[in-house]
Amino acid sequence: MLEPTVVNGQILLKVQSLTKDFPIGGNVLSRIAGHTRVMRAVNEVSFTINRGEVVGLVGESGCGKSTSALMLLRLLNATSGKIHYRGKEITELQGAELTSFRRQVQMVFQDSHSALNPRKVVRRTLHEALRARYGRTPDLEEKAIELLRTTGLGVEILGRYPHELSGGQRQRIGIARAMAMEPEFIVADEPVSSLDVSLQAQIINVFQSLREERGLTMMLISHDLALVNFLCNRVLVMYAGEVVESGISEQVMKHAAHPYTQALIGAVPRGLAGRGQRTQALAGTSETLGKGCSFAPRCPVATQYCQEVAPKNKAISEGHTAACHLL
Amino acid sequence: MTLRRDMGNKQLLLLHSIASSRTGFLGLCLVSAMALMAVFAPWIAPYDPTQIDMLNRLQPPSLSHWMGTDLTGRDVFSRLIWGARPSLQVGILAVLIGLPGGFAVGLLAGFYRGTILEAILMRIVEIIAAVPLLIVAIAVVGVLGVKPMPLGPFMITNEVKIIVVLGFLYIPGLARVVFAVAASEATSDYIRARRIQGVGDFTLMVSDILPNCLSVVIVWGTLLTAGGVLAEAGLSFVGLGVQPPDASWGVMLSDARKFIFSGEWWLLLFPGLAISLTVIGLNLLGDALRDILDPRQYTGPRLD
Amino acid sequence: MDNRLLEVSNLRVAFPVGNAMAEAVRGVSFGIDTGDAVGVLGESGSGKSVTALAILKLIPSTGRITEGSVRFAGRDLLSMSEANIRKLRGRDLSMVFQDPLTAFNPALRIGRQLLNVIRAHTSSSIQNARARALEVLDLVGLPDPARVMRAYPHELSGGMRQRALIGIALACNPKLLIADEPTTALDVTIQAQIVELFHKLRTELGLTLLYITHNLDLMAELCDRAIVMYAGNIVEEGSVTDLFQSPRHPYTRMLIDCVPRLEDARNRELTVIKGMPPPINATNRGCLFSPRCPSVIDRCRVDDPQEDFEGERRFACWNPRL
Repeated sequence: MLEPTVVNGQILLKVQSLTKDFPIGGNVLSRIAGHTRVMRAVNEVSFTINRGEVVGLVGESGCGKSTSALMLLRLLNATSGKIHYRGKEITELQGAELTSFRRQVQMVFQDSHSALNPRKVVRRTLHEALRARYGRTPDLEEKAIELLRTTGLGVEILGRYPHELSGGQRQRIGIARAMAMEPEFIVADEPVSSLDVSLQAQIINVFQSLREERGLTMMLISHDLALVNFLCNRVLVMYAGEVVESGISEQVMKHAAHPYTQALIGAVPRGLAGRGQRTQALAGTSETLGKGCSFAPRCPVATQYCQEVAPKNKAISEGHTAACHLL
Repeated sequence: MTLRRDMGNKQLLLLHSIASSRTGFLGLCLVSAMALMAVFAPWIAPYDPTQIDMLNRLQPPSLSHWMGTDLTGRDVFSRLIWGARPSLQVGILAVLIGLPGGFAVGLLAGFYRGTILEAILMRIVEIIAAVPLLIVAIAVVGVLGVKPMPLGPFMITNEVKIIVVLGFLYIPGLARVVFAVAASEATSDYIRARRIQGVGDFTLMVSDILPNCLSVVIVWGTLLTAGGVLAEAGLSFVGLGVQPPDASWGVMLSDARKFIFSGEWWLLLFPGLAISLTVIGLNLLGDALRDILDPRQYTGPRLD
Repeated sequence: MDNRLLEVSNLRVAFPVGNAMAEAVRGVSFGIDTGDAVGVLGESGSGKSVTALAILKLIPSTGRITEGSVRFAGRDLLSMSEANIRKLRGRDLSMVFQDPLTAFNPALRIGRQLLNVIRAHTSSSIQNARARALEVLDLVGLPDPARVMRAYPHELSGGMRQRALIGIALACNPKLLIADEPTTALDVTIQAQIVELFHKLRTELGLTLLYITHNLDLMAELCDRAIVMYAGNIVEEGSVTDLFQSPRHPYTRMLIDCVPRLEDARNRELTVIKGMPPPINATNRGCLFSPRCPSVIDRCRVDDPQEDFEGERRFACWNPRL
């Protein structure tokens, strides 16, 4: 597996203090007026992604990783914060500029029953994507066949409906659809979690070869630490809407600084090596106190101070940061 | 019951599936029979349905009049055949008129779920849904009268007025059904994928979500058609629908009112049977369609 | 042999596909002794869940057990009447399913559902049943069991629901607990909690466990022995150590190698099993894995592989790795 080549540390994506609040309760009117309680799904998240990198966003359900991804793609509007893509602020883009941004950043979704329109055959889905990119060109069919080929599928797939395909095939179509736009940056949100283990490896391979052939920059969102460690050269760990640790994958996995990262790594089944060694599993669920460190309620080493004051990200070593008072 | 793709044409597939289920087959037969009756009325009906023959009034079924004659000597059988027209016309056309409104409201409200637009649209739908058909029908007829009225180059018969009123009142039912599908599809990943291709809202609604609403609309539409047949019968029964001397099943029942207890059973039985069979047929068809078009068939057997 | 709790012999289960019957389970035989923890490893289409359901005679009514026998504590389950087997289910033989949300009745409180099970199988009084219920909820590590009893399923988190489900399965002290992917729908930290719970139940209660999963590493931590299933057949069986260190069947080997692991070097080559599992109604001759197998030889495509035995291990392959 080739190490991704980072192009001169050139920053492709820069996210600053990204925040997203969702109104809860109330009715339509009170929500629009802003008179309801809010749930903060993403809290002041900041990170950068360099050209050519593969960055992993890791965390459990409800940590805000998918919400963050949706904001990156302007599928959700941020409550506050800035997102710079190639130096340009994209949070307020409209019209033609937004369309041009769309061509550069694409997303591959989890294989759910709603990842592909159940009423459209594969040909139609791919043609639509190609038309969005190229307009009405006469060679849509050739381009579609080529797209299928790059994801390892044959021509016969074109006439099928999604429900006639296997999970692995559907996921390849999802990748082909995203690649039709010829993006330079792809966000993959749990692209293999619903697939069989043997198929996961196939899809991982497709991503690898696409990256190598086209120098794609990628962001992989997953709850699977081992997968993220394998594919990504840098990783961001999220908990309750915040980035609690970030750094080079090897560094973070082997020398995790934040207690949550340590617990996450400890929770991964180890196979034979895990027999007889019962690590104390992390208790509780991710409900937060509202002030102080959001991990404090579950943290095995939390202090009183931790429950009062929220920690900020501090550097532990070159490129490695974590948000914990005890470092 | 899965649709097999080797059969090519989608409509043919659908027909085959319907015919394969017992309820569907029966429904299809009943509805087709009524439809054919309506279409070929001029050729099938042995007599002119408005032809009065006072000498032969109130005759029981016989060889010359298979279903007997009514109070003015008109052939019941011919009136029955011709009466299929208004019933089916009202049923089908009312649905067709309600469709654009139902789709528009349902798609917009579902797509923009959680916004003021949805709130407004659904409140309007609730208001319309609360309106009772009979009251409105009486009001419309009270204002416009039951006679045909000229509108530009067209003559608006009473039947048309009924169709328009009914179609309008059908909007809430259709809108709700479309809303349910649209609201759930609008949050799908494939819609997100289309958005990040740069596709606009209107295209998303029409090209991506609308097709997913078709199956529920088809099912609901068949049931509303049955409702329309009943509505026409009811309105004609009270004199607000089809006007004499034209025949409709409701009018036939209305004419037969005086004879409920006096032994002229053929005047009530045949139109009543016609209405019932049509409604049953449409309901069976709707049931069969619902089973066939159920999205559950999209996930194959998952056996681990 | 008197230790043998469950004995499955040549089990075949078929389902209608189109106009014919297709076999989801194609002649599966294995045994579980009291106190064992046996894992069933397989992907979709392997037949692992259908096997478990067949043991409890809970396969959907369209399916049919066409052949084989299932003996539990010496009794033949397949020939038992529905009334008799219902007495066993929930009491001696219990099952935990994958999705804790749909396994509960959303309209009833947890306590009510728990009490229903206890009172269906034992002749306890309400007080005793209630005491037992609280005991069981505590056993599965739920804080504040009284509050859980009063709660509705949707009021609990996924992890707590799964614990409650395990509690219901354990309420009547089953001899054998079958768990079908109980942690797949849960976060990894919650998964670790549940695995720890299972481990505790094994050590403290001596619970016999049949654990179905597609996660090899999870199974290796929890189970002593494992059965690997592919396309309705058992392709390999052995101790977990043997399977991981020296797998005989190419599928087992590739399954182990195609999963990335934290301990691995980052640039390890990920083995890819090309192709897809066969559809349920596949009827090709020979080994069903042959189209995807890197060690395939001519014989594989012609003859059904025979089982080879090696001490406690067995595997079905014409060209095994040795």
